[in-house]
Amino acid sequence: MLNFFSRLEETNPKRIDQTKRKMALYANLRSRIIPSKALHVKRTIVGKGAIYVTKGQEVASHDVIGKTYISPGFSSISVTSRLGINPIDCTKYLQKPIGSRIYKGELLAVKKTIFGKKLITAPTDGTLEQCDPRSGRLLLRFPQKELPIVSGVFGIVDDVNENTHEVTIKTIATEVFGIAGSGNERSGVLKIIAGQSGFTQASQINTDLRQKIIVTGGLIYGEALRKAATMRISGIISGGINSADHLAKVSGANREFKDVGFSVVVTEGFGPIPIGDDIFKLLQEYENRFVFIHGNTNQLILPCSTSDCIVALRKISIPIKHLPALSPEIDSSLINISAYARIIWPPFMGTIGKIIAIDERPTLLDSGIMTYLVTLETSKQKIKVPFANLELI
Amino acid sequence: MPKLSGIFTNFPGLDKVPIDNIIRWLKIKPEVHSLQDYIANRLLYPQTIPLTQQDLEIDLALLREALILEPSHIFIPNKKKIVIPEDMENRFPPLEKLTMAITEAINPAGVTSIYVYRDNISVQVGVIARPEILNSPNELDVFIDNKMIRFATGGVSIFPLPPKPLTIKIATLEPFTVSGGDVGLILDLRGGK
Repeated sequence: MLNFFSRLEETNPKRIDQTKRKMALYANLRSRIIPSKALHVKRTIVGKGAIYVTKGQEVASHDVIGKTYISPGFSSISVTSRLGINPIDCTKYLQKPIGSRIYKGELLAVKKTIFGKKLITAPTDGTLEQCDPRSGRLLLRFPQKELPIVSGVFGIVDDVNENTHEVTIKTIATEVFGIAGSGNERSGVLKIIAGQSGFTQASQINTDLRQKIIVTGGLIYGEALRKAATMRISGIISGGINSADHLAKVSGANREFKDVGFSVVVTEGFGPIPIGDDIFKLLQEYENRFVFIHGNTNQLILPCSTSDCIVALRKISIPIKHLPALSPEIDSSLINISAYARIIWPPFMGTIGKIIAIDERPTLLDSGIMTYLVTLETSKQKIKVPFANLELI
Repeated sequence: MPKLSGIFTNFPGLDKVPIDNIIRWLKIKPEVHSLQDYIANRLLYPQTIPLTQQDLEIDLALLREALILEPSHIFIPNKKKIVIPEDMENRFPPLEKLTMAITEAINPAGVTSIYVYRDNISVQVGVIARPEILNSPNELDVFIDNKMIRFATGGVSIFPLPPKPLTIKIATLEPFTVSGGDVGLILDLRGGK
């Protein structure tokens, strides 16, 4: 068992006799941001489609690297009410069998009566999907649309896998690591919908955010998380999350690698906590740009935005890893004046500042614990914090 | 240098303890979701320390549940000994309150010695005496050096001890001798076996 007080000479409150501190203080050092790193991103062609690029090809962020097909959805027609029939007789009056292609204006269903014919024509092009014998509603699937898949990054194609429909692109990006998360690797345009310490409610989640990666401030409510799944949002970045909502999205023996349809990265901790200045500033720079999120490894990838990085990439070779990258190891490091630190316990949890003083004598806290305090200078104030409640960054 | 950790790092099953188990130990009951967040942050950042008494109370509640899960971390039943590590003593002051919490969690029967490990030396700080109480009496007579003192049953109390050795006789327990210690005698008269 590691004794985190072991690096102090005097620890027992009764035995600390207010003599000056003789030994150094340590805190954990966590890398939250790794700039300009050469790494691989994957672009997946979902479903049927085609890949247009080859290994070794240089791509720009707007280059089309493949295509896929998507179905925009369904239209529903009440055959029973339009023709005045029993629901169970739904298919009897259709002019074409289920599974057939139909065109806008084409005759869909007919019923002859003593007063004449009752007709239904197709309101749009589509495919006859199903006629429900319980409700008498006919589902018309809209025609599939071709969707081009863009690279999203400046880089060099390192691998094309026709079996898994994946294109692996080597690029240079800034990696951001949170402290918790869930969900598979996804991509999308970054959109900030709340301030650094804002709270995001369900009413703020709408169809405009579909397939985007959204920044939700200090906390996203559970109801908003559930709505995000139905709105098909790709990813969520939040300073904090309620632990009950987080546990609902992770499972398994190690509480890892579950996916509920979108990815989440939490940057600070549990409960409402503002996103740290360091990460929020970076997110503001990348707003409206294409980024990647990998919730299960608490990771964001913010790719370089110019073709200059391709020049550097030509000289770089990195192995393709088939497992997702893990967060950097956390080590402990000496607490020094002028180092930057983040407060990891309330009050002021998530606040980042510069260390400007380290007390020579211990202070007795209200909790009864005797410890050394460190003074942190932020943009707004100076805060004294027990050294154990800091992480160096 | 290796990563700093804390007391709760040694109890990996803590994240699965039902929240009601924690709440039962607290006099001031917090909001459930706030407590859940507090515990999640405590496990995420195990090296952190509480600033307030209220936070320390929550940590003591968590420690009780941790010791219920894994008493062997400090309790050696075949030697009737509890050894409190130095960092645990520093993390949960004062020592009297910590030993009360340990008693409530581990429930050692009979006479158990309490030690604290300080500067690589085990120092005895007290004794927990828990007799078998039959027929649910309201009071119990305890003989300290042949002088009878009546204690109310149903709770745990601390009785400071002078430096000189004293002989204690309680109910069905064999008489035992104790002296001094930072804590003294902890009488666990909650009843049961």
